Amino acid sequence: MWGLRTGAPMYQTRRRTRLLLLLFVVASSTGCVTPVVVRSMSAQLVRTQLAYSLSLRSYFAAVEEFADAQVKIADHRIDEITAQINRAYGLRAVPDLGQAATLEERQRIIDQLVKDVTGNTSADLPLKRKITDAVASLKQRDRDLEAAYLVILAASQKLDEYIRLKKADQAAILELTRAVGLNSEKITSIVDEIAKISQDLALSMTRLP
Amino acid sequence: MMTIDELLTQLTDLSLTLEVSPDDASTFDLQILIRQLRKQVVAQAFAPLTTLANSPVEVEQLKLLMPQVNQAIQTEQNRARLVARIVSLAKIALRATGVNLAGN
Repeated sequence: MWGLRTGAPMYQTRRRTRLLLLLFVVASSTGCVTPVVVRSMSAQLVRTQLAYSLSLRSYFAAVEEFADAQVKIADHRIDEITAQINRAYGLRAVPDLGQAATLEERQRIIDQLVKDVTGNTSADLPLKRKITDAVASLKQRDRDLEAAYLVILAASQKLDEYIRLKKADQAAILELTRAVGLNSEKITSIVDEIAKISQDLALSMTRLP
Repeated sequence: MMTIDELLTQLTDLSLTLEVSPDDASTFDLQILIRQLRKQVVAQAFAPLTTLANSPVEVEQLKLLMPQVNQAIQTEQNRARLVARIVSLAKIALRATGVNLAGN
């Protein structure tokens, strides 16, 4: 237990009171002690941003899953339309084949059908590539946003580290308050209160006629 | 400028009027074109995703500033340690002058 032991209890009390008054004056005049409310908000901000980064990650995962499902649906739809077109080409060729008089003419119709079907089917490849590239772009963007948010979070954590830091003035107060047996957080909050009262007083003074 | 959707709508409307036309080749070509456009519409639905990459988030400044804050933290920690030493020395000095401090 810290405390001044100089003999008479009355003397001890007077000394403590003087020391505390000195501390209040030093702390309130220098203003270097980080207010409790600022520390609380800073810590809460980091917690909120951490929770946000986790929900951002699940949000991206859900959107990407949805996008992957949409790619499958789109591919299926494109294949479906391609099959309809190919069927139409086939249906067009059947009567022509029946009417073909020579083998050459028949072969020409078959060659045209193969060309039409191949052309129609191969035209799907760039379309499907376009779709997968777009979804890849979405996923890359998600990674970029996630990485950027992690930098923002790291910056907040760094600032919070500074705010929570026991600064030189605070260290001095802490050491001195140990000597009189008081909690430093309590002192900080008392200083906050004093600063608030001072501001209120200053405001009241300016409002006086 | 006409979009693929608008073009598809116009061609679909046109095909409805041509269904009664005796020219089968024209109707056939139009039907093929409409189906090909439907495939384009499906692929076009993903186009907005490609524009996402054009809006980067600027965090380079934060990356540059973080080591500076780190430095400030180090400096402040050194100062705090120095203060603690000064106070500690002051306590020793007080004891030397006869003021007895408990807990040391």
